[in-house]
Amino acid sequence: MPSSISRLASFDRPLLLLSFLGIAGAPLLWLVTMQTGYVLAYQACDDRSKSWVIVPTVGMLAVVTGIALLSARTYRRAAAERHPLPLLGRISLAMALLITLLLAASAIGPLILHACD
Amino acid sequence: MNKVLDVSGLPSFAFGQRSILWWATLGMLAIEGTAFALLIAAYIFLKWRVPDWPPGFAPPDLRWGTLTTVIVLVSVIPNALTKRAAEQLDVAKTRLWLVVSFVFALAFCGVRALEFTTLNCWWDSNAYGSIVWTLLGIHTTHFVTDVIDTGVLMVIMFTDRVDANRFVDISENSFYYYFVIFSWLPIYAVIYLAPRFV
Repeated sequence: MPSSISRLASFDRPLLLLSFLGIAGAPLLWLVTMQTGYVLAYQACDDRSKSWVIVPTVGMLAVVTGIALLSARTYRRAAAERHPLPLLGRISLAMALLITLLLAASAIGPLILHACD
Repeated sequence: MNKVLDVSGLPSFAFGQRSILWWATLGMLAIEGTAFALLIAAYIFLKWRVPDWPPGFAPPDLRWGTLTTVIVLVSVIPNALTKRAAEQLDVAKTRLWLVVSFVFALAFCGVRALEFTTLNCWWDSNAYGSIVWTLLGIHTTHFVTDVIDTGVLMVIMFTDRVDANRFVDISENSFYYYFVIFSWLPIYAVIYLAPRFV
């Protein structure tokens, strides 16, 4: 990219990265959880043990909850910053909360279903 | 009166419209297609509002964007062959074409990374920069999701865990890949051609 292209502002970089942790990191965790669950379902069926699916899901749920809490802090800090950090902070928090909800909903299946269902 | 229906004679898997997964994928494509349409509408709205377009920047370089378009269009062939092999429950051919599709997808990801370096604007430069980066970013997200999905399915296909339902998953993955490919064409036109010819 040509170096002559200017950017509007230099942001608080750590805050920017924290914002994208919610925006990109949380959905990525969801994707990883889905794929992990997809692969481990075989092992769960072989061992007749749902732990293979439940433990990673609960672990990921804990991580994404942590991201949501971090996003809430980021949201508060970003609110006082220049545009577009407040917007990114809001999106980050909304995304992290949504993914937390989705992961919690995803955990219901393994709890109810049998390992080979 | 006892109203119990015996469904034991029904097949345990099915492809296309006979599979619930196909309808779920279709619903997801409807949602994601709407999201793409809204982003394109946002781009057009901004373009109407600004007489000098792109505002303050040269249009994105055509080289990498056009190369990604060529790669995705060529990748239709291995994708179609993967889908066909999966629907024929042919393990060897499914493995082969999944690997070929995966290689194409990785090539796409590499060129897409270069594409971001030749947009001639940053995501935070102005509204034009934001919408261009968002369009490309959202499409890349879809593509990377599909690459990961394809990779996982490919690895499973090389284990002894292959059953009929995996072929259904591969068929649906190919169906989704068509969406990712063909949704790119209007986005390519908007990002690369609209600043030059419209």
